[in-house]
Amino acid sequence: MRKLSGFFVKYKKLLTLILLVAVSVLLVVLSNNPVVSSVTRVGGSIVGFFQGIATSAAQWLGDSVNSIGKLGELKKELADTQRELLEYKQASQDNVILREKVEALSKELGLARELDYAYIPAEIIAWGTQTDFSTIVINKGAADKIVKDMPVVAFSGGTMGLVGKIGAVGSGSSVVYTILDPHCFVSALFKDTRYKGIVSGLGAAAGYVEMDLVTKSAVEELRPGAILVTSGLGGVFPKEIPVGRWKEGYEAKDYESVVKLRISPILDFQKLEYLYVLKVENQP
Amino acid sequence: MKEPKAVILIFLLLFAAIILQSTLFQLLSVWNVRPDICLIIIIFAALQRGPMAGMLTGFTAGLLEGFFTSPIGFHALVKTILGYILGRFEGVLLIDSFVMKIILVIGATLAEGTLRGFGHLIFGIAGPPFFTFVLTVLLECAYNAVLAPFVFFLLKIMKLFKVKGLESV
Repeated sequence: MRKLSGFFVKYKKLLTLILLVAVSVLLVVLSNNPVVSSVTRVGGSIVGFFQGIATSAAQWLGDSVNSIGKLGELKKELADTQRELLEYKQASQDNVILREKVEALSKELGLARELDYAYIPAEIIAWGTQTDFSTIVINKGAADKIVKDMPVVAFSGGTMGLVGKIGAVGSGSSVVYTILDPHCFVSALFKDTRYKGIVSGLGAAAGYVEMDLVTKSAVEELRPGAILVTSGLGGVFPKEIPVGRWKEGYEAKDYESVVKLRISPILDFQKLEYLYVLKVENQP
Repeated sequence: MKEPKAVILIFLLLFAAIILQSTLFQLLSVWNVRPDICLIIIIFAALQRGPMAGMLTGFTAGLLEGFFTSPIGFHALVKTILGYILGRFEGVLLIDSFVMKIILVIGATLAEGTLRGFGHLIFGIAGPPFFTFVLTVLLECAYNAVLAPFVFFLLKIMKLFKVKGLESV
């Protein structure tokens, strides 16, 4: 017994390393297991809550700094005017900012009304920290009736595009696996030629996604700029949501009958602010 | 400072770093790359307090990161191993000079990138093309190197990883 305890004391560091590595590996391997998922959900909820607070605080701080800057400019230009007028102009300036915000939101809402599905609007509160994956945290969760695998879309420059799907749901926040993430697979087809394939991500650093399992003959018919949309197969993503464009380049092996295409996402993920989680009927 | 208090404070520090990296630092991102404060904290913990502190700090940071970056456990694995390796150099590599701080952070970021690369291969998780991956890791090196002196300075003031009889930082 003493020998055993002596062994544990002697190799304490190494044994701790083995234990932590084993736990980490198990978590990776069992990441889809219900128990691990619920642990992730609880942890994600707590982290998401604070991410929401941090984002709100940053927005408030940003608005305050902008207001101070604009107030300074007004003071410089209208130095000789009365204080009362200055206050009035400041209020007016705040109104302009508010109006701009209202207009931007109205535009977003107007675009959102074009959606054929019921949706839950959400705001981005955080981004995944590693470039070899691509996740986004939104401010809506189980309390807003969001469930795992719900499709997520967004508008950019008046164009709707697929963002990805809900990967994990917390009480007040959710994690979205974007199409750039290696864990997001989308069944897609070309809008014109109807050639099908499976789209998967390579991480945020890559900036593009790959479309695999496309028949070789498709390459001859494809034209640069061809639009790729969701096929609706698999039941996760509704049909005809734009995913990306094929510009050029493909990977093909002589012994294979399929090719791999490089697809540029339709959305600029860096510029996204508001997302729409779609309520598709066949969702669980 | 008593140990349990220090453990709680270190956890809060890592938590704050994770929140900061995933929210405000998005504004500073170039090609999606952001500075990794957690990594700098792990380096500091490992070199000041040895392998145990290094790997526990790494595991905690990685686990917190895993709550919103898929798959959970991946970053915990990478950062645990990194914390252990760095901890083996406790007392050998001293965070004493400005140049040393930069070199250590660059080295650790490269090591983390390499471990992440191996992780992708071992678990069969698709990742960015090799050239893009190397470029992002290099950019991370630069970002972390710029931040390192400030973070090390803050950690020094907080005295969370103070070593008895060794005032190297």
